[in-house]
Amino acid sequence: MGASRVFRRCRVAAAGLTLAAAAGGAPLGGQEGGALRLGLTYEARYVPGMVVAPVTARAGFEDLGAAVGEILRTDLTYSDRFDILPVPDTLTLSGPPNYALWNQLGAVWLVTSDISVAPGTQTPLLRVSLHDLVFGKLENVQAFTLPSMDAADFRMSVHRISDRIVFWVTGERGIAATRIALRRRDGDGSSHLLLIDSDGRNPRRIETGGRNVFSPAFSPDASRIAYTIQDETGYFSLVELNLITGSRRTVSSGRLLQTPSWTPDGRLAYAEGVAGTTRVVVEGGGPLTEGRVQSLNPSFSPDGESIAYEADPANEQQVYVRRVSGGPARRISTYHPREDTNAAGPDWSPTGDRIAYSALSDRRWQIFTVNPDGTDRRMLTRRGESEDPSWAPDGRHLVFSSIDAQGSTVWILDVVTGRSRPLTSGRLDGLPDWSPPIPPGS
Amino acid sequence: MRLSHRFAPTLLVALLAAACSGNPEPEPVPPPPPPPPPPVVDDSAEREAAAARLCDQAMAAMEEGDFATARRLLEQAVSDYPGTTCAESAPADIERAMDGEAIVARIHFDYNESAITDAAAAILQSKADALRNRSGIRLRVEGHCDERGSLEYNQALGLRRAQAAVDYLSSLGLDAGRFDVVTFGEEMPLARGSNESAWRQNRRGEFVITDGDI
Repeated sequence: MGASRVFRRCRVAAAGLTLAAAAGGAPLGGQEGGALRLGLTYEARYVPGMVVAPVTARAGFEDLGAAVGEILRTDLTYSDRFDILPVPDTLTLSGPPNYALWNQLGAVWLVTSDISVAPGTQTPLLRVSLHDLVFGKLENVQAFTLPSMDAADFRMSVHRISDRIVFWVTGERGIAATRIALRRRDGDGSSHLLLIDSDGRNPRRIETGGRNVFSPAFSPDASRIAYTIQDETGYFSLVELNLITGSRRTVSSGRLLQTPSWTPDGRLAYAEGVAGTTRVVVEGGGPLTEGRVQSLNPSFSPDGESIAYEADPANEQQVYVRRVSGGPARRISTYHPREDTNAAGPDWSPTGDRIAYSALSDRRWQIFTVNPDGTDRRMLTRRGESEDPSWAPDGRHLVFSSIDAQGSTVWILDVVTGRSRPLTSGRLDGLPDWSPPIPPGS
Repeated sequence: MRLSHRFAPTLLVALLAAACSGNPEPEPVPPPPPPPPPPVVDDSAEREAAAARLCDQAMAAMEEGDFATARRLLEQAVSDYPGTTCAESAPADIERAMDGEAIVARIHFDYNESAITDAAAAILQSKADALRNRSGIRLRVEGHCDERGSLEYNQALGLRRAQAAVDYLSSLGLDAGRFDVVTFGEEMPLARGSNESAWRQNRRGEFVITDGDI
């Protein structure tokens, strides 16, 4: 049995390196012939097999059970931490699971669930069990109350359960209960914001009042989003929208306001145009960059003590890191004089260990990650043009925009396995930002 | 039939002679057709009306900021309808249209540069001359970029370009307060396409009259 497990581990690890979109069918498609190519710089890491059994629902809750099962299965697939094994539709579970059989089929984990109602109520109750098939034991079990299927937070509530399962297995929280904000161009040259769940569902258009909108950025508690708008006369406003109350606050207006970002303690940082150049400032504080250098796109380390940003002291944009309290800036992107090696748009991982950015490689924008000290630089994409990376809260998934002849699409990439999937099928999408976990009630 | 056979050699010789005769240089372009003969009947009222139509169109074009069209229409009025009221008042309007053209004339920039090129400097000097004559004019100076470089970097680069143009106009003695400096980055390309020709057209400064009459 030990030998067969080793064999299976190797097999699934190899499967994890294939470059196709994640199994399970992307909801919005759009991957014609694979416009996106990924660099083979991923670790061959063990991806355990998992079975997500159909939800057993009591009479009257069959539709709810089917919907919950579909969301759980998709979420766990999109977590990219498991090889989700197919289960026949006809499978019905009765009695205790046969651990040895599932394990022989290649599974290491089994998720079973059933719907009952809370005693004395009609509130549906989902009980989820995680079974360890190797050691043949029940690893975890928990009951969750479910909102009704037509409630606005139904899908997000199930996403939180998926994230709980990921936590049980890995000790790290999943990312299903998150959203992505992006900019979508309209045909007439204007643009608007779109909020979309991380599984590509539930798109929500946000009117901004400007002709064009740029660079949405979620606050650390996910309750607010900052973005800039530009009116017909060219003037910019930096706006903070409260996603719960719908109220808006104009933070600043002027001839150039761009690339809002948040400090870990919830203050806004952004770039503003001053006398023909741009500098990074924190709301209610002083400038973080100075001089006749164009500085923009701040991103803070999780401890708030360092900042990554782009600047062009040699008339070519590059990514720098420096202490917020001052001191020298260190370039962490590659610079070759007399070559186009521009680098832009850094995003510091929420786990703190990596910085993602886009840079020219062979005259095309590609996604890179690097340690904050500039070591261990890796190129993650090839072909097409890929820009504007933004980390998921797990520090291993990135969302970014990728341009090919047909237009610009937003993609999600797991930097550990190299699995990728398109988030949108729009051809006019860009500037994505990945939210922190969405708390209940928002 | 016979007839044509008999004459054919003669025709051929004549054609050859024509082909070989004289000058290997291309024939001179024929002179433009002479102006129509003066009308016999008195159509001065119709001429006056036609000229007035041209001048009205020219004024409408000028209102819309299309000074090149205005100038062309006025020049046509002067040449086609000399002696009409419109043609007599046109020279002053032509000068206005030329000033208008100079004021809204675009400048272009090198790749990833905000420096004013020699060609741009000449355009800015004409612009400054026209603006000196017309002190009520205020301009929105817009910096634009080609699609290369990140969207956000290009917003900042566009601002640098607009500022460089205003700095140059200031150095020629104009009040910088007459100019609004804005950037549209790569959002409003003039030419579509990912090639050097489109990029060259799109790296530009635009000048839009926001206040005052030409």
